[in-house]
Amino acid sequence: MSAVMRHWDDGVDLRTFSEKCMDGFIGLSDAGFSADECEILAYHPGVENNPFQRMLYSRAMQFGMAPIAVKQLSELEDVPSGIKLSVHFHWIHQVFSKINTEIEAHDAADKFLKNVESLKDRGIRIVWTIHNVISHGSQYEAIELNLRMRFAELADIIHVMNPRTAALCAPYYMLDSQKILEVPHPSYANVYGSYLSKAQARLELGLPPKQPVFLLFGSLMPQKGTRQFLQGMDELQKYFGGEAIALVAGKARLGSFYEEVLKLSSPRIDVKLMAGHVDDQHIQMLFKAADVVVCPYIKGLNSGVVMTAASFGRPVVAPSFIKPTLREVTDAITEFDPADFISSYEACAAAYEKSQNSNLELELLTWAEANAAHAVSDKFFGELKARS
Amino acid sequence: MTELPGYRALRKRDFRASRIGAFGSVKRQKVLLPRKGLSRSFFIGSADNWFLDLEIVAGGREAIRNAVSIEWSFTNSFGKPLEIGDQEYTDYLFADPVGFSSPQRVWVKRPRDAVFAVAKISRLIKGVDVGMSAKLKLQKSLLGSGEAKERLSRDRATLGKLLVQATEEKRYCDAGDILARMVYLWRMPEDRRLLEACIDARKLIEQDFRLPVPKQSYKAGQCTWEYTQSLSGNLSADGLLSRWLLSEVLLLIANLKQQKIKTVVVKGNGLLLGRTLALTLAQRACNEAFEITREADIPLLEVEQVSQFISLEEVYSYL
Repeated sequence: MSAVMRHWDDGVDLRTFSEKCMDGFIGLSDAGFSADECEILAYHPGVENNPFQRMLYSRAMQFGMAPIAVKQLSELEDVPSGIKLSVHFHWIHQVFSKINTEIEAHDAADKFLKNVESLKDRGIRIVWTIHNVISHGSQYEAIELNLRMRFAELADIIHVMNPRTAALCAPYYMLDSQKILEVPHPSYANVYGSYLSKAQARLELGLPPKQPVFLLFGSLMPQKGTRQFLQGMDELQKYFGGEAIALVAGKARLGSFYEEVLKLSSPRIDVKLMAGHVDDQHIQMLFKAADVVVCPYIKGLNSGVVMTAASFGRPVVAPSFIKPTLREVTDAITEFDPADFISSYEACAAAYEKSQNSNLELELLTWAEANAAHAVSDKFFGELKARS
Repeated sequence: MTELPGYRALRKRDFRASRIGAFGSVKRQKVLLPRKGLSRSFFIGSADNWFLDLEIVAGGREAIRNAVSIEWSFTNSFGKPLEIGDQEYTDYLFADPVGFSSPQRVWVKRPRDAVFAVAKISRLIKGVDVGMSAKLKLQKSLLGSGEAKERLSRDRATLGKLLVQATEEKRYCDAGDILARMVYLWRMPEDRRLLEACIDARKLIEQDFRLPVPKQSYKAGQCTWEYTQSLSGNLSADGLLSRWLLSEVLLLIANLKQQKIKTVVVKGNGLLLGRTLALTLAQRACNEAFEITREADIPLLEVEQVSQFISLEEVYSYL
């Protein structure tokens, strides 16, 4: 098969990284920043299908920082010499994305760390956002943990969103408390449309108006607990007299895991499976239709789904390690013990009861507004600037 | 049953004949193209300027872009495959509506040492029959048809040649038109970048290099500063000159103001003309508050062009 052609009208950004830096500098100058106040915040890897980075960086330009995604670290050689540069890393496990053996994984980690060291030698500040203790479905756990340990030593600033991050990482690698910058995950207020009523959302999805609906949202992956949750659906039904409905929505990769989810959900009419990419316009429909959002994760550190649920005023069932990420609203998260999965169903029943209190929805929406992208971004860049 | 009457499916013996360079060498063939492709061998010897003319058709009322690809591979006289870049040696052809097709010329870009070539002709689109009508015999170039006609061609090599001619002869308006046609025909990012660079450069000339740089108050001291390299990094041949200039001017002003520079000495070779232009613009924004000197032995205008779409005379008249 021939090489796939890229077309200019496919939305391809025609600019090189260096040109984007010039645009960033020009934009900041135009906003009134002097040249020595201007800074390029190159971030890596840039993720298109998740609004997180745009949300976090939504106020960057107001602080004299131009956020620009960088695909290859080698592109950083081309940054205009007259402009200050920081590099913000996110999911560093991507260094293993095209790796097939442990030896290759070792080499890739070493090469990456050497590149980062040379950036530091050039006086470039390194910022790291820790999204997970270890990546979901890590194939080279020991190598990745070692990479994280060494990278934590190199980073100048470590951004955490869960206040318990250092403690949760401690069994595997240490984070220097002096480097830690704690700024929470933003809510998704004003990110997705939110104009449907619960009744209309249920009508559109073919869900009955009165039955309890539990939404499991996000990519279908083994470590997200969907399979375990579906296996125990009968346990959930004990609390609801068989009336509960699990709405499972998210992108699925074909393979044995998805086959298992299919096998579990096919015979059940109380499971509605919507496997596939969820368009941004449909997100409100799913969350508005739900009474409770369930995050039955076995591992993790932060959760965009928890923040999305809160942004639509929906309470969440989540493992205990997620609880601190939304501590301001007492009843927002009903926790369960991931080591005792059965406790998640009891948590669902408790969360459902809380969801019937309309004050909770109001409280969550107020929280979401106060923690919207611009507010969190203000905090992030305020702190980042203060430490430069 | 095909929707393209007169076009037949390829048979096993066609593929065999193709491998030994015989298929379609005598008689024009009208065949349906398979997705997996038809690999046709050619002897090219040591000569350049070979081409093939092919007509490609499909059902429907509009021409379909990138309906067919031709991927070239080459071997030397010992039959050893030569390493070449995929993109550079792949041609993409349109499929025209039946009754409205015209020959599309495909040039053989012979790499050094290549003696044999294999063209893998594949249908890229699904669900639609695509037919090819061609005599698969390489022909030698017969140049000399009028430029007006050539400019309506869908042959990338011809348009590329016209573009080079237009820029060499400083017919920048023509260069823009040719590039616009190339962008329309192939939608390639690199063509679009060039077109943007062309329009941007011409706009700069029309506007007398006016950039949105506010007038600056500037108090010079006594220092001299050597301007040896660009502060904004390199200006690529297809990058926007206005972007680079604006960035460079802003960085220059900031740097010079901070150090209260009285005299700037232009040194070094890289982007000499571009840097001199940026410095002149910075000087004007600062009400000539600093002086520019250039090492006398550097022949400014011979070092490099600022952009391929601006003539040296145009820049020089501004300096």
